[in-house]
Amino acid sequence: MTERERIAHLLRRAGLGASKGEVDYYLRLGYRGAVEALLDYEKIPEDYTDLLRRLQGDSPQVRPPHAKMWWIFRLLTTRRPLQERMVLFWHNHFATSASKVPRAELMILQNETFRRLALGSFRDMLLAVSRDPAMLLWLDNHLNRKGKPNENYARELLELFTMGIGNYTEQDVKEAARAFTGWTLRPRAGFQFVPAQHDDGEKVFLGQRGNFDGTDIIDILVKHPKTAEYICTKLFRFFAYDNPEPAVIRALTRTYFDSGYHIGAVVKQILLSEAFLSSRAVRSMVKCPMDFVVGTLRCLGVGQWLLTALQAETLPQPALAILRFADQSMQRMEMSLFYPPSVKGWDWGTAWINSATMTERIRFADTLADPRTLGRGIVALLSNPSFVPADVDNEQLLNRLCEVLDASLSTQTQQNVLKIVRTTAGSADRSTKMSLMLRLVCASAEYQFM
Amino acid sequence: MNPKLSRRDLLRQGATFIAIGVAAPGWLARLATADTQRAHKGQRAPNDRILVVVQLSGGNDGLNTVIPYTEALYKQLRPTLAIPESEVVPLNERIGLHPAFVKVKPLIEAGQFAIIQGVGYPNPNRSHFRSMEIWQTANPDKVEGTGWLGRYLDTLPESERNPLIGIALGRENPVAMNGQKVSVPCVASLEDFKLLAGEEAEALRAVYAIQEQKTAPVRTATLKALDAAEMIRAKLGQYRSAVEYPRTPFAQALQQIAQLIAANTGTRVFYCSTGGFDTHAQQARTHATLLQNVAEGLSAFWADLQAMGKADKVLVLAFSEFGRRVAENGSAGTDHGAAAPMFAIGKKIQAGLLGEHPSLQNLQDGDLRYHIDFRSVYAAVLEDWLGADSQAVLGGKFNRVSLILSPATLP
Repeated sequence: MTERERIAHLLRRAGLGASKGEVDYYLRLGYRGAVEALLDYEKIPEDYTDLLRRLQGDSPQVRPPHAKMWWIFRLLTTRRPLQERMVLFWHNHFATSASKVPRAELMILQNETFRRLALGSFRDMLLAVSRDPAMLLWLDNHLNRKGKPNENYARELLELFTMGIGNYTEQDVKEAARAFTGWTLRPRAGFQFVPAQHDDGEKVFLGQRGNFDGTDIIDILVKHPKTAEYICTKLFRFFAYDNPEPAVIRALTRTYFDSGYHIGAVVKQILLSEAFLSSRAVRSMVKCPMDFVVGTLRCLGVGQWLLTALQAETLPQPALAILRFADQSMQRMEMSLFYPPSVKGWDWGTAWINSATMTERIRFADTLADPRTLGRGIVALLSNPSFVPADVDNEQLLNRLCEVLDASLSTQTQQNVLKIVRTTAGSADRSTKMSLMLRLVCASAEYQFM
Repeated sequence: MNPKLSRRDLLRQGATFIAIGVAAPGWLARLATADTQRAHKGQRAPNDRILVVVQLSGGNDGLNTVIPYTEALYKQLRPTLAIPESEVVPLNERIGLHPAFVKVKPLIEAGQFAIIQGVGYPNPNRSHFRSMEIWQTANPDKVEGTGWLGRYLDTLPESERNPLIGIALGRENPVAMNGQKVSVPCVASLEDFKLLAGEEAEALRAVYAIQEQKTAPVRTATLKALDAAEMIRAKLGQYRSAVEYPRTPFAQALQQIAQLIAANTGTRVFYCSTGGFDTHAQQARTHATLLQNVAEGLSAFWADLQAMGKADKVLVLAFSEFGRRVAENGSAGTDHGAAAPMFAIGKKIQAGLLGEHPSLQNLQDGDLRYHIDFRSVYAAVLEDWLGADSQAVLGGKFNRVSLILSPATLP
C-alpha cells in the first residue's frame, strides 16, 4: 500500500470517510502523525453550542428528531472524526433507545457523556453510564430498590457492557442488582443515591465477599480479565476485523491494564498495529448505514456546505432537508440513531446487508443522483467543468467520480458501469451521465465495503 | 390436503408464468417449466401449507397472559400485578386470559386457537439474546449459524427456484430463516419493493454481473431483492383486505403477509416480530397494550385469511424467548424468567389449552418449570403441518405435541 492508501484506510475506519480533502490533510503528517492527530482531537477547536437551539426552532422542547439532526449535523461536519466515531461505538455498546427515555435532552446528555469520555478511562465511563439518567430510565435502575431488586441493569452490565455472557452466574446478576439498589434519579435533577433504598448488606460477587455498592461492582468488573478481553475484542472488531487472532487481543489487554483501563491507549495500539493495516482489514468491512450515508455525503462536500449554512441565523431549509434525508435513509437501512434495536446494539458486518436494506441503499443513491430533488446541487457540482474538464471521455469521468467517493471498483464493475452508460445514456449530456454513474457506483457491491 | 386441487393450482400458475413471456427473469422460467413438467407427469403436488411465525421479543410475561387465576400463590407473589379474578377472561375454572387478550377468545371457541402451556428447554438461559438465538436455531447447546426454518426450507426442492419461498417481514434478517443453502429476502414494505423493478433492476443486474468472493454476500442480497421485487410486482394483485387492520406496525406487517398469501407467491414460511415485552418496571399498562396489539393484529389477520378462503392453508405460531419471574420485583415489573406459553392458530389444530399450566409451587430459581420442550412443538409443526422430516431439521428426535389434527401426508 502507498502512504496515501494507508491514510485513506485509516480515515475510513477511524475517521468518517476518506474525503479527498481529509486524505490530503492527514497525508502531510505521515501515518503515525495522522493517527496521533486523530486521537488528539481536543486540540482541534469545535463549537456546536448553538446548534441544538437552531434546530429546535420554535419548538418549546427538544424532541427526538432534533436530537437526531443535531448528531447527524456533527457527524457530517466535524473535524474530530475519531471522536464522533467513538461516540457511535459507545452508543452501540451502551445501547440506549429513546423509545423508553421520555425526554430527548437526556439522550443528548448521554451522547455528550460518551463524547467527553470517549477515549478516557473505562472505569470513568462505566461509572458515568451507571449514573446516566437515560441509562437509569432505559434499564429501570431508577426503580431498583432494597428488598426487591430490579435485575435489568445488573444483567446487561455483566452480559453486554463488561464481561460478556458465560462468565458469571445468575447469582452474580442478583448480587450485582442488590449493589445498585438506591442508584436512582431525582425528578428533573439527575442522578441521586438514596441510602434508604440501598441494600448495604453483604454480597458475594464473582467470588468476592463484601458490603458492595455499585462502585465496588464496577471496580471488580474493570479489573476482571474477561472484561479486558471483551472490550478490547469489541474495539478491535469495530476498527479492524472480526475473529481477531488471540495474540492481537492479548497484546491489547496488556495495554488496557498497563494504561489503567485507558481506551485511548487501546485504540492507538489498534490503529498502529500491523493487523489493522493488513489485507484482512483493508476494504473488508461492510459499511454501516452511518458510514454509507455520512461517508458519502462528506466525500461529496455536503459537510463543508452545511458548515457555511450554520453561519446564517436560521438554518436554511435545504440544510434541514439534507439532515432529514440522512436520518431517514439511515433509519430505513436499519440504523436509526438514538433508537438501537435493543440493549445489545446493532448487529454489524454482513448483518447490515439484506434485500430490504440493499433496497434502501439503492434508493439513497437514486435520490442523491436525482437532479429534480435533493441531488440537484450534487449533480451540478459533479458535472461542472472545474470538477472534470469538458473534453474527457466516460472512463475518465467515472475515474474522477470514484476518486471523489473513495470508491474502489473492480475492473469488471467499471466495465459494467461504462457499458450501461454507453447503452442507456450514450448520447445524453454530461450531467445525465454523471447522475447515472453516481447511482451505479453507490449501488455497486464494492461500494458497500470500507 | 387435496392433491387434485393443488395440481390444478400449479397448472394455472404455470400458465401465468409462461404468459409473462420471454423477457421473464431466469427464475421465473425455471419455476414455470418445473411446475408444468411435474403437473404433466402427474406427480404428487408438494405440500402447499404455509407457516407464519410470530416472534414476541423481550420475554412475554406468560403468567399474566395465561393466568391460573384461582391460585393463592399467584396473588401472593404478584401483589400489584396479579390480574383480579373479576377481570380475568376465564377459559375454565382455573385458567383464564388477560383481559387485553380477549380478542382470541372467539378463536378458541371456534376451535382455531391453541395455547401450549409451559414451553421451554433445559437449563434456561435468561439472556434475551442467547435465549432468542436458542429458540431461532433450535439448539440450546451451541451457537449455530442456521435456523430451524431455514433448515426446513433447505429441504424443499422449490427453494432453488422460488425467490419468495420464505419471507422475513421487516428490515432485519432473523437467524431462524437462515439455511445452509437458503437465505430469504427481508421485505420492509411491499410498495417500496415494487419500485425495484423494470429498467432500474436491469441496470443493477448488469452492475452486479461480476465474480468476486469478497463482495458476494452483497451481490446475493441485492440480486435476491431484485428477484423478489420482480416476482412481487408480477404477482401482487389488487387484493384489498376484507377487514380493517389496527394501525400498529405489527398488524400492518400481518396485512402484508395476507397480501402475499393472496397473491399465491408460493411462500411457505413468513416471519414477523413485535417487541417491547421486556417489562421490568411498571408493567401493568404496557403489558396490556402489548397483549391487545397482538390479539387484535392476529384476530384481524385470521379474519382476512378466512375471508379470502386461505385460512385452512395457514398455521400461525407465536413464541417469546422466555417468560418472566413469577414473583414481581420492587418496581411493579418482572425480571427474566423461564417457561411460558406458545400460541398457535389454525383450522386443523387441537384448540384450547394444551398441556398443564406450570406449577407455582414447584419453581426453579423462582421461575416456572417447563414441561414441553419447544422443539416438540417445532417437531409437530414440521412433521404434521409441513410434512417435513423433523429429525433432520432439528438434529434429533422430539416427541411431537398433539397440535395438528390432520397431519400432512409425507411425500
